[in-house]
Amino acid sequence: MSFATREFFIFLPVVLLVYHVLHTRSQKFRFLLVASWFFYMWWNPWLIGIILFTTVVDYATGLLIEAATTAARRRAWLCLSLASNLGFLAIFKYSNFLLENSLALAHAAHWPAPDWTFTIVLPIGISFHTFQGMSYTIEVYRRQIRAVRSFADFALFIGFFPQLVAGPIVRASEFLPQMVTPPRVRSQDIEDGLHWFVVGLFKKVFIADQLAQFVATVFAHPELYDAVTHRWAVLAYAAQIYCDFSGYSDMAVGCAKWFGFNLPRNFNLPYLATSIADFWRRWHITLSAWLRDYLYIPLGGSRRGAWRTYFNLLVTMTLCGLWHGAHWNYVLWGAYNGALVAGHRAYDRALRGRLWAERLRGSTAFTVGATAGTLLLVLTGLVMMRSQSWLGCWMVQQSLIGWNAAGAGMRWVPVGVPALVGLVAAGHALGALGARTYRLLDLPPAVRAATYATAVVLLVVFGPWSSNTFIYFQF
Amino acid sequence: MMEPLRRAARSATQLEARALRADAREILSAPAVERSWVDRHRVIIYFLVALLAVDLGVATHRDLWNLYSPDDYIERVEGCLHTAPDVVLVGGSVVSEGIDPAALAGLRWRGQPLQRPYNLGLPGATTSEAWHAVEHGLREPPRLVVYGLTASDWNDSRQEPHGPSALMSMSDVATWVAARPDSAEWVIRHFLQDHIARLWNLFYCRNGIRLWAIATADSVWPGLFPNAAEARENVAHARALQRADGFAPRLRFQQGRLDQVKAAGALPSSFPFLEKYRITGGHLSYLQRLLDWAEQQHVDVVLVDMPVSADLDERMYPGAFAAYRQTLAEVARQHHLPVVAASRAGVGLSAADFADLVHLNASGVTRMSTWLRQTLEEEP
Repeated sequence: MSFATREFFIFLPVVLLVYHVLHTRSQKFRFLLVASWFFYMWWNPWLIGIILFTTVVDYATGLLIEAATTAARRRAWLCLSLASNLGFLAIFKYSNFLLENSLALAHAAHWPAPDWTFTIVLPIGISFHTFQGMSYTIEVYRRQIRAVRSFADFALFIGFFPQLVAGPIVRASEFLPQMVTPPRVRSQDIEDGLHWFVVGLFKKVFIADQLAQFVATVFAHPELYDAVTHRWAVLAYAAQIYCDFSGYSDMAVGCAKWFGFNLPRNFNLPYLATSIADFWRRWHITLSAWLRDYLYIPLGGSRRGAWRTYFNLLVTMTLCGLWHGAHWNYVLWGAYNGALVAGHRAYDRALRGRLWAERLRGSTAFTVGATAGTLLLVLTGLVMMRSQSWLGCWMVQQSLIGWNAAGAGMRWVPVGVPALVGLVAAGHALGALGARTYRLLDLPPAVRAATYATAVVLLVVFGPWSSNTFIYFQF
Repeated sequence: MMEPLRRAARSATQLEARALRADAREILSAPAVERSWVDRHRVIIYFLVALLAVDLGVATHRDLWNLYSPDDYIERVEGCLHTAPDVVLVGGSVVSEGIDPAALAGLRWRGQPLQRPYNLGLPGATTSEAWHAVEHGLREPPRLVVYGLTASDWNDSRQEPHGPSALMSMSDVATWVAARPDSAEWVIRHFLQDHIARLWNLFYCRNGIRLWAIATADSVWPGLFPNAAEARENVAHARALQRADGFAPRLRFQQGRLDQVKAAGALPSSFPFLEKYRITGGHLSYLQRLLDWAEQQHVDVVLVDMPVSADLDERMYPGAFAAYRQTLAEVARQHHLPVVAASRAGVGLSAADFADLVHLNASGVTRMSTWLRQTLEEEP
């Protein structure tokens, strides 16, 4: 079941109603667990087996890690948890990719190789719930949290439906303390939930879904269109993927508030980043933090010298790319981001402490230039991610940087595309102003209510009649 | 020098601390302000009130939205109800797009002239929808019902969702559920979906509002909105539906030419309404209802086997048309009904008179309507 569907708008009120009618903590949480599993099973009932298996393994290993008396045993149980989570990821997400590439390599080397092909259906949300499970066992291993005694509580932490299939990736240390007592839903939570849910739905249905067709058409055959169309398609894709994913995250945050839970924010105006490192602190924040804490720092972080730091950054970001999808364009996109982050680290280190550089970097002109430059680098990366062929990717990249200014194809920019891209830009611009009065949450109740009502009217009247699948479901 | 400064700083810190303590005492001793329930939920209340106000606004302009997104079924049934016709044409789109009732005005039937023909044909309708249209669209029984049929009307592999949503009452749904339990879930779902949607005017009228907004924007910035053409066509269609005889053919059917489509190699390879063709009696049972009603009300019924393109009935679905015509002959024999076979040769139709595989274009409509009048006057 996806958020922007008719079924969900029946499911959510029913679950909320029953949840709030129930009295005790265990009744509420057990019902919520069953509802979450039902939500997941809507796609394919058999996939619940995967969640159940990883939940049981992580729950048991958490207890075993805590009970283990030696460091070796603790490490062994942790390895079992990591192996089961990463094993599932490898089987369901990367086995096709590995097989295809192994066979292609064998064919290229003229080695005898069978023409095997098989398709494994990627279980929705596997990249998210396995990462959550691993964060739990790692935190127990590091003695940052105690192992959870109740299986139902732990299963709800893994399977809580608002964030189950596309994040945010919630840490055990963030979520489990909220389960100690039955969450109390205050009027503020209801209002904030409405805010995040409506904003998220608007981003997803009104902006992302309406841009989807234009983006898909241009990227399918970039050779048919001119450079101006290419540039609009890239901007539209940037707006689409941001609104699609941050829209889902916002809706998850809003839903969770109605159940009395606080989920972390996953986006913070990413296209206002002044460097690529800043961008990754604003984009999919929970994934960036996960990779930093559980991959980059264990690799050595920045503690082993400059070159090792750059290497660690490159490895972390390349794996970040691979996490997004088992295709070479994701690997390339990840490596590209790794190179940029490492390059930024080197540049930052070279200029730090130099008075003239600090003064320059503090100026408004530099901030504007850095934001524009970072945006261009991000857009270049997004073209790698979205293109369906290397030739098409090169064609659009040329248009993006102005080498292909004339363009050979036709110009096709529907009037809605600049309007919707402009809407995303305006949202970022208001955020950039930074004044509290521009934040919707701080406006007077009547203005907030009118804004939400307007968003609902626009969604109903102008939104597509059937919503597309969320892009991040495939990641 | 430093000591006085230190002392001053210490005393300033003490003063600040004292002030802070006083503030804290004041805050703690102040009576807690209890916000009322309404005050605590103002955003939600205002939000719901705003949505309600919008909905009321939408409801008061419902005619305007219907103009931009007319519902053929509802408009025709209501139009028929107000017209009180003496000859009614029923059927699917072969009738709604294919017979001009103006050509039947003044038709002499059993020695008496019939002056008020009405086209109650409904695009996509099966016999089930034809019956519900007759059931709800006639205040008084007419003299004559002309039922234009084709094979797709009886294909039990298909259902028309517009029927439960626009034509059926609760008792119709109950009758359907009792008679056709295999599609009970389908009919209840579509009935409920539509009737629940009607509770929210904004949702129910969304397409009309959208097209109205596009048309309005297009009048300010002409040429920027491709959908403005759809809005204009819908308005023209809605105005045509409001005419007294219910005939409102779509422009694409009026202007289309099957011979040109074929020459361009754009002929579709299948016709969804005839896929998986089977006659199990589900739709036919509604023909039985229509005939029973006609008998009780002393209404004459003529069945017309409507013409379709040669490609459809001879090349693409000969089996379906053979089964349909065999059933039609059996029904006519059982009920002693006259059947008018409007063959292409008899009417004088070629591919140039069809807009597509099933629908007649403007010249085809003229030929068919004139031929039908002559045939009916000869009293089949």
